[in-house]
Amino acid sequence: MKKTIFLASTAVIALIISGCKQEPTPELKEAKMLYEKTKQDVKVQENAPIALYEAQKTLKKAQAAESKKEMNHLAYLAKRRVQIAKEIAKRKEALKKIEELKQIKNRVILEAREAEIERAKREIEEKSKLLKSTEEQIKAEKERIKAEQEKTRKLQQQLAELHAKHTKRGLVLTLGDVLFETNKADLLPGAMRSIDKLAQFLQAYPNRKVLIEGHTDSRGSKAYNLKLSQRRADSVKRALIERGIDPSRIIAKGYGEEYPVASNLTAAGRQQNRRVEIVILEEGVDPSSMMRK
Amino acid sequence: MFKIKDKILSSSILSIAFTIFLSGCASKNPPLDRISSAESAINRASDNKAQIYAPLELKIAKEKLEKAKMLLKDKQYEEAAMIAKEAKVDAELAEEKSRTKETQKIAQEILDSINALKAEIERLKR
Repeated sequence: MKKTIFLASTAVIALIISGCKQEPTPELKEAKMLYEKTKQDVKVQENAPIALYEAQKTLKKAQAAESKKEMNHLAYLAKRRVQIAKEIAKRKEALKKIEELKQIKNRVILEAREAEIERAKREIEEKSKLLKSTEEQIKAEKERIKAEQEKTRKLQQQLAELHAKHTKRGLVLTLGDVLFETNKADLLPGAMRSIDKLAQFLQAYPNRKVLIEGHTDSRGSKAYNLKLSQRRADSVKRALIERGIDPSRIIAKGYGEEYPVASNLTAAGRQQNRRVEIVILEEGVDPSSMMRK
Repeated sequence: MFKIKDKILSSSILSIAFTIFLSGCASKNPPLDRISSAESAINRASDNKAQIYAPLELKIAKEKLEKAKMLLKDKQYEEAAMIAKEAKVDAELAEEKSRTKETQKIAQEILDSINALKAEIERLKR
């Protein structure tokens, strides 16, 4: 009878044990594989040791589970905990990366500021160069205007000194009879001051040409007067050429008694008529177009 | 005498063993704390934008929570406790995953801003 009791008890115990002892299910194997694989990952070991430990504990419980259902339940929890450990590890890595990136960013911000400063310096340099060259241009222009004004002023002064008159043909200056030897073409020293100034003026204005016109009074023969007026005009031309004026700029012509400026009946009038007129033409004007007929 | 005693003895052993077996494997009380901790895990996941970053895990957790609540009504406490536990772990994974993705997103944003700055530097140097 004792044997019967023993058998019955054994059967009950076996029943209990068999209810709690369970062969590993595919779910458990899967969870275990995932755990083993994840455990090899150094980053997970370093960053999520507690989560990994939790997963391991759950896995052990699953291995000791008493029923298939409980085993799968615990295997599921273990698998999730491994996944959690992996996520934590990834996050810690990302946080480390953020720290690194923040430092890099600070450096790059500094670099950007330096680049901005460099850029600003460059722009200032370029602008100051531009300003300097503009200032130089303005200065040069002012000097040019000043020189121009000075030239105009001198010209006006010279013209005033030569007693030149503005006419339709140009500036006309008259060399009177007293500047020539009587009945001769030679210029007297008194004429030289006017000739010198005229030459200076013509050198200052190389584009202006001149007509030199000789005139006489009506005494004496026409042929003689024509000849004398031509010679006097020629001697003025020669004097200008001697002072460096290009002969091609000068036309000298005698008109004799053809163009009196005063009456030939009085001595004073006749003296006025004996003269050489010098017409300084405007710039670029052709002398032959301005000649008397 | 002996026979009767043996019978009593064996039946009492059986009943004790059965009681032990039952008490060892089945919960007697409704697992309300498990359900509430699953709920709060789901809330934490939602707070961490799990809807965006871990929608599947969050959905599974929510479905399991609903199932646990139904089992609770049916007084299947043991089953309800298990499902609630799974729901909690699902929600925890959803939360961890979301926080990780958010962190990675921040890292990416910093990287993007660094690249933008570098491009700006190149432009300034030109």
